[in-house]
Amino acid sequence: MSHIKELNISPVGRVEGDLDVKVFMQDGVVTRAHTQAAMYRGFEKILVGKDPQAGLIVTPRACGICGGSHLYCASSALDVAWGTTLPPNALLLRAIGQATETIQSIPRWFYAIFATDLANKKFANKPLYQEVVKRFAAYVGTSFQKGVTASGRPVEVYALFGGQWPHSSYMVPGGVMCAPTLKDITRAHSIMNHFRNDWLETVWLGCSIERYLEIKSWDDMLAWVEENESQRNSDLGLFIRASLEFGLDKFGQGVGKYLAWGTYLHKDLYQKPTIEGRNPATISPSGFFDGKNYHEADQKQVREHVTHSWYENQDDSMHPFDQPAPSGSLNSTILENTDFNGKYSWAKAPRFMEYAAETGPLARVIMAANPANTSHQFQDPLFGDIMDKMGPSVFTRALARVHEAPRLYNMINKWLSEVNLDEAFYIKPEEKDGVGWGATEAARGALAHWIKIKDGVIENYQIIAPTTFNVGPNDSQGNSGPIEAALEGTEIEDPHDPVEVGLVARSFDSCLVCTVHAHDEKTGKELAKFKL
Amino acid sequence: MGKITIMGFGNPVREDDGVGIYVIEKLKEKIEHEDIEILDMGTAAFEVLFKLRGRERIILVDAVINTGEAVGTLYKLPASEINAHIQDDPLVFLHSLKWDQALSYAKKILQEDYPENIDVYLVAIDSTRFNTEMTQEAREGGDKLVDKILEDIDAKVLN
Repeated sequence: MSHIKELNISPVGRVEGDLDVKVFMQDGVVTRAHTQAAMYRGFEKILVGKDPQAGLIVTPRACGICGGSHLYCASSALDVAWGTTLPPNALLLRAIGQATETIQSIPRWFYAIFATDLANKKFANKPLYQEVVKRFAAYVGTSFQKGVTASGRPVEVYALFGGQWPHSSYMVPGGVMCAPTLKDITRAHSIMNHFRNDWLETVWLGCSIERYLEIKSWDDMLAWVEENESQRNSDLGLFIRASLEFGLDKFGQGVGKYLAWGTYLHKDLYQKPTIEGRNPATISPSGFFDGKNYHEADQKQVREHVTHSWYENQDDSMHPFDQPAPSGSLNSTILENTDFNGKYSWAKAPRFMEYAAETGPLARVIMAANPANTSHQFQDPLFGDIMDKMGPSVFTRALARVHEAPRLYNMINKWLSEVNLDEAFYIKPEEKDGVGWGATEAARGALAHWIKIKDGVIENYQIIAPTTFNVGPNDSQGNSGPIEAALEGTEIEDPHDPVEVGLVARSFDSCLVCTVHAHDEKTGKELAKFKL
Repeated sequence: MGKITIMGFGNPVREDDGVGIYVIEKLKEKIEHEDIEILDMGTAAFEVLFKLRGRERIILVDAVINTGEAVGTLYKLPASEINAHIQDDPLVFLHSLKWDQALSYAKKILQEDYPENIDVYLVAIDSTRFNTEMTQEAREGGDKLVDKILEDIDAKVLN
């Protein structure tokens, strides 16, 4: 007789904000999973009726770790709406901001969020377990501290140009508000060089960036691991060997469809920002991959469903431009009391061409493998091959994320060297009514802002964050969201410690919006003696 | 006096949650000194870790809810009074762990470089609605706190 069981997992540790997961299992295998975003996110609502530039201030505060990505979108959306002209320096400094935010996230995510699970007792009988614990155990692992410390460096570069990180507002319609000097550029090169010497080449790769970037196929990757002791014993070498030994390549497949808006608009190809002109101008290419074919990432193909989301003031399958501001008027329920046939999440269910689509580094590296990419775009066949040979999994997704670090490192240095200190960084635009769309690749995936400006104020503002795509609930047709789908079929060895669920969720680096920050003193009495 | 870092936390688009940032903005207008760093940390408390090394004195400013006191009430306490409850549990290791968690984490990483002289100023608040304006009470609390901090860090260095 089969054994049916339900698990309520709340919160899924180390996932930003409040993500709760309900899994239904039969004989130890997940048959159905539901993700619940437990926090109302209503940033759009406060933007309605405000000055068009309010998005530049408000949206970077939507998140403590993706503020730069929101700023990139907010300024781009206004560029389109106002028809600005962007000087090449502005596009370079925005790309540098976006790339430094993304590259800082890589070691931080790997050590602080993902790899500590490899030190879980589930893997204790595996030969590589002792080494994994020694290096990756939370706080005390020998690489844990090096990686987390290194992760603080790239955003120092962001702060050089942006004034601060996070929550900067240096990107504005028409360019960037900064006037860097040669000293800033030199300092930025030097900070990145520390990142390479302290972690990227020495701890992570065990070889030069150039050697690593020669890898073009899965066979190349396996050969690279075994090429010498330094690479084999690097953190990446250990991660690959341990992942295969621990079976991380065997679960967490997902929906098999991928969306990237792409990012890093080329300095010479996007001086006249338009929605139509954006895709060809991206350096990290955009696209939608349906498992067989590549399609254009046309924002018109986005719809959001709310059948299973706590919103009542809109219909299913509306385009962001047509949606009302979120009402936040319905009552939510906690996981244990939730009826999953009804509404069960504060996340909407975004769809592309009516498909649930995964966003994030895996989507990006799949787009980088598109044979149709042009000469200024990334051309990297590796993940085309890995998807053919192994398909998606927790391992594939994690490898995709860390694979981005060496390439981004090179790009940041290249862009820094292309800044022309004698040229303009900003061209003052003329404000006007209109519609705009701005997008980027946040560390966690495709992020976009839609804006409508009427009578000089914001009439409508919509944000779809990468995690909304990934963590969203079922749509009106009952199709699962990407993380829900990725959990189905997962074997859970110990229901008291469902580390497999955490590994799947964290392979997406799902991040719900961090909003409130107040210290919560649950016992006011203890605080009373410190009253001023 | 030594090198001082003042860090404010909060979200200015969540009504009174932004009082820590309000205080930071006011302090930035009033203080310009090479040994005093004034930082708007927003909601990225993880970054605390990277701001402690080499500093002799740390001042943190945040809002506090559930105190049972009037909005705008001020508190000053040593950071050691705040229990982070996360010390050895990696399962609560969030992207946006709060500063109290970040401090206990920083202790582990920095060891002897961890600055022991850390004070926390808190402003009692109630509302964290989606709103870019603070209440009058929270703003007044913030103004009072600006004065307190200016007294606190030895006004002489500011002249």
